[in-house]
Amino acid sequence: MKRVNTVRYVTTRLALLLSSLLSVAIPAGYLIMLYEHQTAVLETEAESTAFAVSQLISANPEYWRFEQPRLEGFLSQQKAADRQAESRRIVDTDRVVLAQAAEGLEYPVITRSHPLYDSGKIVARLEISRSLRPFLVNALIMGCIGLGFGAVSFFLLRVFPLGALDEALKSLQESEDKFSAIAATAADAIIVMDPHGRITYWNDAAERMFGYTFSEAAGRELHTLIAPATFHESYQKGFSRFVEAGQGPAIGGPLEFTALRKNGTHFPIEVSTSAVELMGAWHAVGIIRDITERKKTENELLKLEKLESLGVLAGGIAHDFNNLLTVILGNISLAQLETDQQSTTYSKLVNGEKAVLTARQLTQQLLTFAKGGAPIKKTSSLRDIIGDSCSFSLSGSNVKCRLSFAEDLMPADVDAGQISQVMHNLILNAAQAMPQGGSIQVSCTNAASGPGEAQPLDQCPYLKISVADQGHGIPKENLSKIFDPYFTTKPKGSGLGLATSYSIVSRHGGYISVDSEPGRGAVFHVYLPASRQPLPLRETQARERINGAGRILVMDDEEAVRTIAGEMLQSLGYEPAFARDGEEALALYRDASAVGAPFDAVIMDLTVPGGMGGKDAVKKLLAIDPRARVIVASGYSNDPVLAEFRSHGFQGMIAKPFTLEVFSSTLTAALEGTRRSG
Amino acid sequence: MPTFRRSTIAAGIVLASLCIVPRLLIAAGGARTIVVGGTGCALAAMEDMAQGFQKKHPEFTVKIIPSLGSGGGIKGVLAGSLDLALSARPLTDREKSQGASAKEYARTPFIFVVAKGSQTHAVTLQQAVSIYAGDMREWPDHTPIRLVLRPEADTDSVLLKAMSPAMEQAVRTALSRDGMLVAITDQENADMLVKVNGAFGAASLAQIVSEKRQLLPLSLDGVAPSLTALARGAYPYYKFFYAITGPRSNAGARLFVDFLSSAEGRTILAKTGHLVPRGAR
Repeated sequence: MKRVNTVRYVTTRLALLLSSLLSVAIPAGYLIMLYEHQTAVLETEAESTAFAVSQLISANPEYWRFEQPRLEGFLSQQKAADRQAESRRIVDTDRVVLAQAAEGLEYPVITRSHPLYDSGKIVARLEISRSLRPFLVNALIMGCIGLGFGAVSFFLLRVFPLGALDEALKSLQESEDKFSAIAATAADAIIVMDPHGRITYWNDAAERMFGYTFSEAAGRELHTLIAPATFHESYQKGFSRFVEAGQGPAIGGPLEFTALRKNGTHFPIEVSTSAVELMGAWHAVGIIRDITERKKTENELLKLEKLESLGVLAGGIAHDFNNLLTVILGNISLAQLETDQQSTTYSKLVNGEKAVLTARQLTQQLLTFAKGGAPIKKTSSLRDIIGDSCSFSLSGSNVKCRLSFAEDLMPADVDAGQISQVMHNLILNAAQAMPQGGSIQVSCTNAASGPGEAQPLDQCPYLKISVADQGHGIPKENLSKIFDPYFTTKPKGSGLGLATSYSIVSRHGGYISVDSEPGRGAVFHVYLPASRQPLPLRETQARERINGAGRILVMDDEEAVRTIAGEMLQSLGYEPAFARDGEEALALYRDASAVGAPFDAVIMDLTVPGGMGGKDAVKKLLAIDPRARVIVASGYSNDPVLAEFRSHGFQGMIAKPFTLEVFSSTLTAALEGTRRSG
Repeated sequence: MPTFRRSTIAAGIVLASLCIVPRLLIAAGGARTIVVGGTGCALAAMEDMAQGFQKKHPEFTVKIIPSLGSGGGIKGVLAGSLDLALSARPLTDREKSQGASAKEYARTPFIFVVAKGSQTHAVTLQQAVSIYAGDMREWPDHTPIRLVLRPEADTDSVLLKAMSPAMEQAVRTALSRDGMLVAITDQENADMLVKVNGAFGAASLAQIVSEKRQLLPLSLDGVAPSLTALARGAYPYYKFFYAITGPRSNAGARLFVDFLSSAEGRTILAKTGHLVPRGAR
């Protein structure tokens, strides 16, 4: 703005000067021309009149001096009536006035004379004087006109050409202001160097990034300022090439370097350099970005990629492990049928069954970790989930868990595996906050917002689970970050525990928060919507086996699973048949229907490597027989298809591994639908 | 005898002296020269007058200098450079106080003239006024009228303006017009009137006659401008001639003035267009 004001000041003064000159030049020029004209006129008149008077003198050279009246009449006659006032006189060589025709003349007066001759000898002079006063009046008028011209010219000069210049400068200034504003507010450092590599521009971001103010950086060579000593030589070589041709390895970019701050610390930067030719010399414009955070993110992404790979591996292991557990659990269930319930063998089989079920929880955790996924919600009691999670998580720990449940605790529609994972994470964190041991207070209550209270959930009523520890608490500055992925304060933490918990609770339509004060421990609160449904009978009667009858087709790629499933079906009174994949299942189903011995139900594995899985097969099967009863089974217990099995055409769902009781109840429920509809 | 002879010789010497001294004085010049100058219209007649005077007074030489005008002549007399001035105007009080004295020796008709050969022979005062006013610019035969003027202070202009108020205004109008012919001296005036085709102007009869100018005096309002008409009073416009002497004028100048009034002088004047006043003798 200062330069615009300076130029505006100069241009205005210049316009004023030119206008003033014009204002003065017009009357002055008029006066000069008029003066010259009058001078020429008077000289001419003096000469012509003197010629006539000289003739009179020549006619009477001895006595012409007495002809005063005649001469005066002559002089008077020479003056035309329309001329301005003038005086004419004849003076001898002694300056004695011999004759005059004078009028009162106002000053200033211009006088011109011419000699009067008698036979070549000067005997007197004829003088003619004329007042310039009338011309001064005219000059004054011309002055007014000149002022008018001056004013107009000032206006024209100021408004148009100089105005245009002014506008151009304003645009330039605006452009500069924009550049300065952009450069000043840019997050990246912007640096300009002259052909000698000396810094000529250094924006605010550069000051923040490197710790040098502009006054400290200006005039210094960039590499001596920000490059570690090991890069100095290569930098100088590259810059020499740039000065010569405006080219070099650093032009374009971006290139990554390690830079040095004023405080001596190193940090990674990314440099994009461009060449600008100014006044025939190459100037370098460098845009430098501090990529410390990006590097961290890249590392985290790398870590995530590793985790994802691990997740895929874990998912595959869990699937296979579930299949194995299915066989084990099925065999235990069948063994239990053949064993006296009062015998020690039976109790051992029960313990084995519990261990398999616990192992199933582990595989579910692995699957949740591997894929996340939509929760497979079932109306469940949180009391059992929380209790099991506490005992499982604190097994072998010096931390005790004190549980507290509302007597009338409402059930909740939850994925037991995922909620178990949440509780496992919270309890594990609480335990790790108390390395010297202690107790964790876990409570679960029915809750509803009171008047004026903030409501954590849209849905009411809800259940509130609180996990309180007696640790050192969470620093205030970390409270807003603890649910961020990869945020951790533990040396070996992944930063995924609480993030996964947050994700799981959110997918359940719930909310998780934390209260903590340093030195007073931390309390995590999990809010989950309460279910208005009663606890399902299956769960309450999970130990009941239901026998049935009918032909059941089992489709699974694992032979062991087919075998145990077949044995379990036979033990329940069903007639099993087997298929390895979807195509075979469809063919068998079609053939059975064709010979008049159709299947009453089909149990399909969701995933068949290299073949048609349950998801596709059920569609084709329903196309053949819309009344077909199909149950989906999968080791990927967190697969979204299981969560939404009805929308895919299945009448039932069973997660591997399953007990004989769960298997029979699921099958019975599916077949009951057949009978009701039939 | 010796006494007689001495007396005779002495008488002879005195007589001789009486006869020789004037001759010597004449031969010496200077003090016996009468320098005459003034209005130009009187000078030609004065040449004849000077010849008559010098015959009667051979001891004097009359020198007539070219026209100085009436005022110039009076100044010359008062300055002692002229012995006698001829003026067409009377003396002013100032000039009288300086010792100048004037004697009217003649009058002459102040007339309008055209060149001889012109078809115009008469003019009325009204026509003359129209010519001076610029209203009438052609003669009846459609030839242009070229008016010759005199400077405003000149005696002729004064006399013209005195003819009538209309003429006074007309003269002023004429003098204010650009490109007019203005004659400074009487001789120049007469020259222009003779030479300029279609010229019309004023002059004195005495000048025309004495200088034998080829100019035709015009009848004015039907009256021919003759000395007789002037004497009779039928022609009302005339010019005076005064003989002016000053305190430094010599005795010869007074003799010359006396000669102007002499019979011989009156004859010369009458021949040259002058009317001698009755009381001039």
